[in-house]
Amino acid sequence: MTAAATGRDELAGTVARVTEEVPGVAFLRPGLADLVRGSARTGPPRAAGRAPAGVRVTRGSAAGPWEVDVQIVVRRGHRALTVARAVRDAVTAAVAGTAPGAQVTVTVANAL
Amino acid sequence: MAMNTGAELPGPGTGPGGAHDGDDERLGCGRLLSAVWDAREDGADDLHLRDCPHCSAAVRQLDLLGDAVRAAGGGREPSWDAGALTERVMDVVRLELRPGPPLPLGEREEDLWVREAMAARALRAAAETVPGVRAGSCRIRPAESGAGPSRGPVRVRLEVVVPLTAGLRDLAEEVRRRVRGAADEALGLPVDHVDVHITDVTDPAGAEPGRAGAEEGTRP
Repeated sequence: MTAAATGRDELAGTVARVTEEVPGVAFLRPGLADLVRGSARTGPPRAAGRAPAGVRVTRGSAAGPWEVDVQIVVRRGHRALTVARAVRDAVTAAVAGTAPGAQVTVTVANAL
Repeated sequence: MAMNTGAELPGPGTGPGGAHDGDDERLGCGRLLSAVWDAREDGADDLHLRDCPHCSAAVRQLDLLGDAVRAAGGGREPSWDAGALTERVMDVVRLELRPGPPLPLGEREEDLWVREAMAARALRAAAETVPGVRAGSCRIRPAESGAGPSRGPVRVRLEVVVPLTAGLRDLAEEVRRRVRGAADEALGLPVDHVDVHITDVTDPAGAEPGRAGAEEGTRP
């Protein structure tokens, strides 16, 4: 694994951990349809326990800012906007040291 | 339920306004993902489901999702019995299959979104808090046209079946008020217009329903 990939996985792991602690978040979007599209159609099933589908971390260039995309399932009874803002703020703060200026996008995909 | 063909209630996010991500997923073996999950839910004794790598992978994903739902809600919601839990799992599954396009949450300059199917489910539920009202298709679209996801306020088009009453217009107004309220309080979704279309009426006395015609209100 390259150093860049390791950095990305660590960043994604931090984002996932911080997101799941935000009140109102039930869990990260499991991404079932993506898993089926990506694996069952064309190859062997992926192993369970991989990085959650609900977090995507990308970078346009080696020097550019990280783009962090978080997809969450919220608990019913919690306002989607309030939870989404809390996730954005928590993630932005958590990655400020390792990925300064990261652009954080939050999508509420589902409610439980 | 006394309703005619114009008033079938789609499942969450599965109405004409909900299916935007193409057709059902067809697995490598030719089966539809939804059919595989249905068979799993029904406890069907199907050798293919067990032996097919595509189907067994899909079933395993459903089981993982069930575990996630149990872990997230089961422990904290003692009122969830096995039936309610299964229903919640399938609710989440249906929205996973048909999430719909992203809609803006909050202010224009923010980068926060909600999927249409989830928003539609909340708005349909809000409409159904009006006694006797049943919500059908709920379509939510940017009020402004343009390429790419818009950050502007949305337009809601909701179909409802209502009880026969002298004040259909007042009833539609009440539905609109509650939908607007839910869009703001439950979601934080900026709304430009709510169009309420009454597609059918039901007779509170239990007689056969009659068509209401093109009764609708499109006030902002």
